[in-house]
Amino acid sequence: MILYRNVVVALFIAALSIAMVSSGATAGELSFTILDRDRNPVEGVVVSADLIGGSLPESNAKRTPQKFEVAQENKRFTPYILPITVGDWVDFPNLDDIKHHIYSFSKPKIFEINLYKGRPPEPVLFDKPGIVTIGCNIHDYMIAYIYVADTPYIGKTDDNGLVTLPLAAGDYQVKIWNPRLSDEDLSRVMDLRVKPDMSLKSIQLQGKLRKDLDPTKLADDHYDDLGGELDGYF
Amino acid sequence: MAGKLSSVNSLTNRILIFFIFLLILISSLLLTTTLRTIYQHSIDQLRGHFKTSQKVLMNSLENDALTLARSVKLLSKDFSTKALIASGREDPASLRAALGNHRDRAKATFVMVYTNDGKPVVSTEEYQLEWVELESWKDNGVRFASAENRLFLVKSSPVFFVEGKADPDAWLVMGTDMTLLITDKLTELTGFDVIVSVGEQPIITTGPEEFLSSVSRDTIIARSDNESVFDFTFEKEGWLGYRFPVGWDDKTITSTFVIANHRALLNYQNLVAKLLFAIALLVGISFVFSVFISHGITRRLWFLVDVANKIKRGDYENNIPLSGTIEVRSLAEALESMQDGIRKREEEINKLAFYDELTGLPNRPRFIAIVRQRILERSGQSFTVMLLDIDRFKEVNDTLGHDLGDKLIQLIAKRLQSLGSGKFTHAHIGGDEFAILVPQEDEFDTEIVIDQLIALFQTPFNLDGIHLDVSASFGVASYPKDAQDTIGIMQCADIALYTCKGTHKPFAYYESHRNVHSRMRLSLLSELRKAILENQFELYYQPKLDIATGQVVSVESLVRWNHPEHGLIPPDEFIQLAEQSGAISDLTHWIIKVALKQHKNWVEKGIELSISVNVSPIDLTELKLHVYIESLLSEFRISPDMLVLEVTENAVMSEPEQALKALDLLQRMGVKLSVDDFGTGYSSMGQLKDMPVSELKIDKSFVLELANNEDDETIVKSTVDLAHNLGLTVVAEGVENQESLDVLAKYEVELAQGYYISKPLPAERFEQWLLASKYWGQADSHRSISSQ
Repeated sequence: MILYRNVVVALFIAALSIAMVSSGATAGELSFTILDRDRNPVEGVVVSADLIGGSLPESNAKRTPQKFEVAQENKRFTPYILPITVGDWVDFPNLDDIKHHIYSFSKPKIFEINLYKGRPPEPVLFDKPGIVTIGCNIHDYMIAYIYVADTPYIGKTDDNGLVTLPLAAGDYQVKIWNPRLSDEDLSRVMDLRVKPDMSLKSIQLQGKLRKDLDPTKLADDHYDDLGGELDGYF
Repeated sequence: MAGKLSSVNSLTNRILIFFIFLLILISSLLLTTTLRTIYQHSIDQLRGHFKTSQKVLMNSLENDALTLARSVKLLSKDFSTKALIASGREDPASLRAALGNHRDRAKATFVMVYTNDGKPVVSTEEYQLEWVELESWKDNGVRFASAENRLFLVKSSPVFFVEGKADPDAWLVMGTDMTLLITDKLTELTGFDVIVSVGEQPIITTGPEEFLSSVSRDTIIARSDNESVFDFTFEKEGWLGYRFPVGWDDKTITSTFVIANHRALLNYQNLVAKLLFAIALLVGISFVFSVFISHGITRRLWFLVDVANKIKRGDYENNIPLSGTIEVRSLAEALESMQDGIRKREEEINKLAFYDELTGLPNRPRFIAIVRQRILERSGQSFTVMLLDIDRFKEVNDTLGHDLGDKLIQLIAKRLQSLGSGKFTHAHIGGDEFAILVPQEDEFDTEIVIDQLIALFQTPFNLDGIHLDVSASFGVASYPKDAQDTIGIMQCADIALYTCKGTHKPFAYYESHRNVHSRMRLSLLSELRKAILENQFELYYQPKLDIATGQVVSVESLVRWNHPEHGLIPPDEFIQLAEQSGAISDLTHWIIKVALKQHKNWVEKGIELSISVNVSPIDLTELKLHVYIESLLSEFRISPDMLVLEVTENAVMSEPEQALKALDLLQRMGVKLSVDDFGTGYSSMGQLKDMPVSELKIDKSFVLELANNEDDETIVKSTVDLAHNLGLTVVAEGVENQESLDVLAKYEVELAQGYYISKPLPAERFEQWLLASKYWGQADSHRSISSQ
């Protein structure tokens, strides 16, 4: 494992140097890397940055709402976590040949698309910021999170723990989110002054990562019937 | 038998008592241990039943809990429920209604919703449990919760709006009132009533409400870790309880099974009843058996007792059955051999007791028994008893010796037995006495029989070559003429024999007047001593005449009994009695004393007569007589030669040495001695020669007919010659006429005595007679006797 981790770190450093070289001095881009307490990269962590004081660049202020997809494929939501900005649309195409019944009881967006196959008639507009948990009434283990941010500077780390946001120089408040993060990390609001020559910001998690509940990474048999769960009730 | 049985000492009862005691002991032990074991077993069984029931109850409760858990879990996954919970704040009524529906479906009592941080959202009931209570075990399955004085089985379940979320969005809590779970069905399943308590407070029961207020753990009989068995009283009945925790982790929630003793121990009580019955049966059977056995033993014992009693009566059982147990059989054998022994010895004793050894004839007791039996058995038939006494048998014994005497008896017995052709009963009843019982039948005429008897003695008896003539006297008495009982008939025969002895006849019949005498004899015998003390005796005096001088020179004193009832009794009738009774010595002393006193009295009056006194042979054997006489002679100052002691010639026959010694002493004192009744006894001349006597008295039987009987004259003549040759003076008794006196004078007999001179007279009359008579005082005018 140690050997493997070292290889990963080496690769990461190599990639970083490539990125730096490639982006060069191009203004408005900053990469974040999220590391756990053991300095291993953490994948799927949503990173959002709010600009403080200054106004958004023109282009960003008047940005066109974008349209995303959270597909249901092999009785799983894909992607598992989707970061979007307020006003964006999300389509929920059903790629399986069985029906699904997706819904959300989360405050920012309560909705339900009842038993359907293929592409629903219209995408869903997420017009309030917050975390929307999407489930399927037919398949309890199907879950997806849509992080609706108030800012366009939002992204999630890739499997190398890296995410790049188009941040120009300025002062930002940075938040991170993932269902695995501890309350301590979830409540962190980090002030960040971005300078032109800055290209990488690494954030180390302070709390312990919770158990990974990502159904895409779990074996199917984990979700067998719930009878077994009652054994310990006496 | 009944009397015997009632005694504690009887074998039967002892065996019975022992058996019963043993039975009671065994039964008690058996009963006690068995009951204890059975009771323990029953209690154990009951506890086993309790434990099983506990499992049943817990299983039921767990099933209920599982159902509850499933219900709440399913509810928490229900999409529409989630949707309603999500909008619960805005629309609680819809949520409550929906939950109410689910509550009813799950047959639960309530459903409640809480936010993830514990704030109550909605409850289907009017009450809402405190979250604090629920929070501590919200992840730990089904628990108990109490509220509103009710006990609930409760399960909570997190609600994830989307399953798979890390944190729950809300909590659902579902509860079932325990009263819905603790039902009669449990009672049916377990057989017990159930009480559920929180702490010490019972709150639910399947039984009567009163359980809730009155059941407490009165007495704990057994206890394991968490469970306890106890008993208590409910409505005056004994109950058993079994308490155990039901609250999984929570030990304060307990359940108690209760059951009335009579139901709990129904089997036990049934068993006890059966056992008691069995034991009673056993006791009964054993009792009957022991009665049977003990009676079996004692019946044989009683049989042997009967045999023993028969042996006692002489009624011998020929075959004592040898059966029964070894002990009883040995007893029977012992009895039998004892009986044989007794029989043999009895025969010997019988022989000894009832038969005379010498002759083989029945003895006196046996003869008396035969007479008695005859009277008893054939009272109508008359018979005769003859007593036979051998004359002078003593002489035979003395001269020929006892061996020949015995032989003579045997020979006589043999001869007697030849009589009566076996129909007579002969007995040897004494030394020389025989008895014969003669049945009075025609062929046995008494007189003929007597003749035959007399004839038996005609032939001499041959004793080892000596031919001996033996005569016998017979006394004859007849039944029932003379006496009607055994003693009477024997007495009559005895009297007849006695009479016969006195008459010189060979036989005598019993005559009733004899019997009077004999009875008098018996009474006199007893009165003799008394008579001496009371001076009933009196001395009479008969003179002895000196034939040559015609003067009375001596006087014989003769005793008379002046009996207050019978009047004057002659010496013949009481002297012998006195000799037999031993009173003779006293009587003799009395006579001598009175005679000497009289002599002295007369001497003082100038009448000097020597005085003679009759002395019994028994007096001589005592060797004291001379001492007494000496003291009297000196007391009265009388010269010894004035006293003449007359003894019969028999006096020296029974104990010659002793008698001669006594006579010698007296003679040397100077006392004169005279042989009385000479000629009637059997004294030999040799003995006469040895006797230190100076006088001889010829018995009156030779003198009475002296004048007319030549034989008597010859005897007198030769006797006088003999006496004179021995230097003795001769006295003739029984002189009743002058002719006799003349004959006596002719033979120079010195003295004469008899009625011709004077009969015996009392002292005073004698004195008068003497002084007036021609035989006194005229020494000078002496006349020849012969001339008168």
